[in-house]
Amino acid sequence: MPNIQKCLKFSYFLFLLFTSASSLDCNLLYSYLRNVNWKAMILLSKMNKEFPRQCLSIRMDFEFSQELLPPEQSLKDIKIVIYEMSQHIFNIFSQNYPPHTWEVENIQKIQIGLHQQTEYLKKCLEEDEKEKEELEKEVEDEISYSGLAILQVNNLELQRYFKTIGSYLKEKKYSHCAWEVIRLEMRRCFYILQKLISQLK
Amino acid sequence: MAMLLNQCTIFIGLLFFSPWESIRFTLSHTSLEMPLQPCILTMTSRNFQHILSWELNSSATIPTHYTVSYTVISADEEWKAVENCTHITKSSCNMTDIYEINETYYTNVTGFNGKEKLVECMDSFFPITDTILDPPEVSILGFKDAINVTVHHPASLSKIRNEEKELFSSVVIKVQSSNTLSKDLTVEMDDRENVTTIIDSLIPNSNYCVSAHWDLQFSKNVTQSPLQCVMLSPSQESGSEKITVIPFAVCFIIFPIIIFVILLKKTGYICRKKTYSPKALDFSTVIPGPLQLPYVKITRADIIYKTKKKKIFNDSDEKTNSDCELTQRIENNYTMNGFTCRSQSQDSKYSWKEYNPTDSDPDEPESPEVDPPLADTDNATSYQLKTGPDESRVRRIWSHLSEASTFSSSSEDRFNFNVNLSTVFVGDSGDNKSSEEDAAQILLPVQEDKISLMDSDGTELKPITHSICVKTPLFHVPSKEDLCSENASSDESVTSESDVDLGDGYIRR
Repeated sequence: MPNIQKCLKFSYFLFLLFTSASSLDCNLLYSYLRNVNWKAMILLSKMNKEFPRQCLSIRMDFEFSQELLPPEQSLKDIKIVIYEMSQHIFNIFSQNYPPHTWEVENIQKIQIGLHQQTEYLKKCLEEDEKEKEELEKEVEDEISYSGLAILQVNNLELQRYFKTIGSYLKEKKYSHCAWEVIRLEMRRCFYILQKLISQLK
Repeated sequence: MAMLLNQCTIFIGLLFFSPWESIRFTLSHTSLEMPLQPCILTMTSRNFQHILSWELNSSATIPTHYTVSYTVISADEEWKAVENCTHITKSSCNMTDIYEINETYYTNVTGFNGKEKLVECMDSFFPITDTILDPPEVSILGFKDAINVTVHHPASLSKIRNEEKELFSSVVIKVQSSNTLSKDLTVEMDDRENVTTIIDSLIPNSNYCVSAHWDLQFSKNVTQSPLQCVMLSPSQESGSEKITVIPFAVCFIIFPIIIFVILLKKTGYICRKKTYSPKALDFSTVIPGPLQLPYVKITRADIIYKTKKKKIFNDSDEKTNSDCELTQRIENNYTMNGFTCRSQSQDSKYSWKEYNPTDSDPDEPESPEVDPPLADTDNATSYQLKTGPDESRVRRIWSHLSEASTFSSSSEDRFNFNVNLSTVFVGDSGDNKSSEEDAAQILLPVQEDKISLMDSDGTELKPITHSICVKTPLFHVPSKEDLCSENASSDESVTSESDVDLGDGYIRR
């Protein structure tokens, strides 16, 4: 019963967020997203103050590729990377079973923030796409195609990275230690998101 | 027995020959079996300057030296010893150069006594959230009901600022007061060295304190800048100045303006009373171009065509009625008709005055007239000059008027038409006969054939050189009885006083 209540509460939150995200202005993207990932980072830090010593043995290098974040990226590419990452992190926290020691509320808060971020970016990317389509109607240039190719590589890299994380959790049977490792890995991801969002300014 | 003795001698021998080594061995042996002593690791991190320090819980055995090693959690790496902090005797280590800002580190401190591990402690550390940042520097300036807050980047953060810009992108300013609740406002720094913001709508004459902190911080480590307090200056101080200033402003600015206005009025530059001017000088009513004359109450004004009585005018006395006056004169073959409806013309500016030959001089026919410079006026007048049946003539006049663009009307029940003065002959009532002869010569050629005509009574006839019909509201052709604009009573009085014969366009008196 309490699980159903929680589920309802969560879906209600999601509904509220969806409706609120639909009415946001894309020009305020930075100021809105500025704190989302930072707060998530802090929430993850609060979940467990220390990394358990016994979990050091199952550490794993997920090899987050720094190629994902080339220094000179277009604003649109940055938005897409943030969007993709947010979705993947959301999936990791929602599809699997986090340890009991973690507070469910904190997980929910993180997920809510990620969902807001995703919806907001989705809306703004759609708007960008419309503008771009209008431009491309006038001038067909090859740059857009090459841009798409880079984006696809980025997408594949991201997918590979998060797939490794998913399979790692599965392999470790969603153990507490595995989750602890993932918690710190996700904290790194939020830091990267924070960096990316600061580029949107 | 021999075995026992042998063992005993060996033991004693060992003890005798190498006592220290055996002790060390036993000690090391015991220490391996005993759990390591715990210690407390403390990371003092300020502005990303990380100083690791540790202390022991129990002071049973103090390690002689320590070794600090670390590992990154995100990578499956071996423990790495910190070069600067290997075999050190002091219980602290500077980790600033080791830690990257965004990685989570696991740090291990091991205390040795000789080669034996005595103490071991571990801790994880995430620099970006675990470090404490110096708060922004705040300087304030109090006004009457506002505070000017300037936020500076502290010099201690200048190095970090370039690396982690997003951490210092925004500042939260907290305004506290004893009267009201504290309020926070976020100010964007945006890579600027200092930012000035004004907090207004505060309560005057009260104490306010302002502090600031960086927006993005781990809530545990948020450090507020020291409170900067200001007593807002009382409103009376600045207000009293204003109160004294206002009367001066009134005296030195408003009064001269009033005096100036009065002077202007006195001299007549402004608000001058409209002086009465003669009608002949009143040009304001007929302005060249399409006109929108004020509403005229006169419903119709037509020339009377009556042949009942004939009366010759010798004098130019104006016939006056209660409402209208008709002045008609036949001199030198020309008939002059003048209608003046006083009661109506007073209300309206449009009157018969342009067709008032009694006041005019025949030698100067154009002088009393107002000449609207419209192209169609010739046609309009030429129509009127034609002699024919009275009704048809009038009809033509009206039909022409309806066609011609000379009249302009803003509404249906009002119109105006213009008269070409070149076809107007004006005579003076007081003029002698000789001048009338001259006046006859002035007439236009169209009218010349009528000049010679004489009435049976010997009176000279004047062709109707000028006829004005004003009719409102409708364009209906007036019958003979309706031709005059005056009412019935005035009609009768007019006819009794001046009867006009208009046979073939000539008036006989």
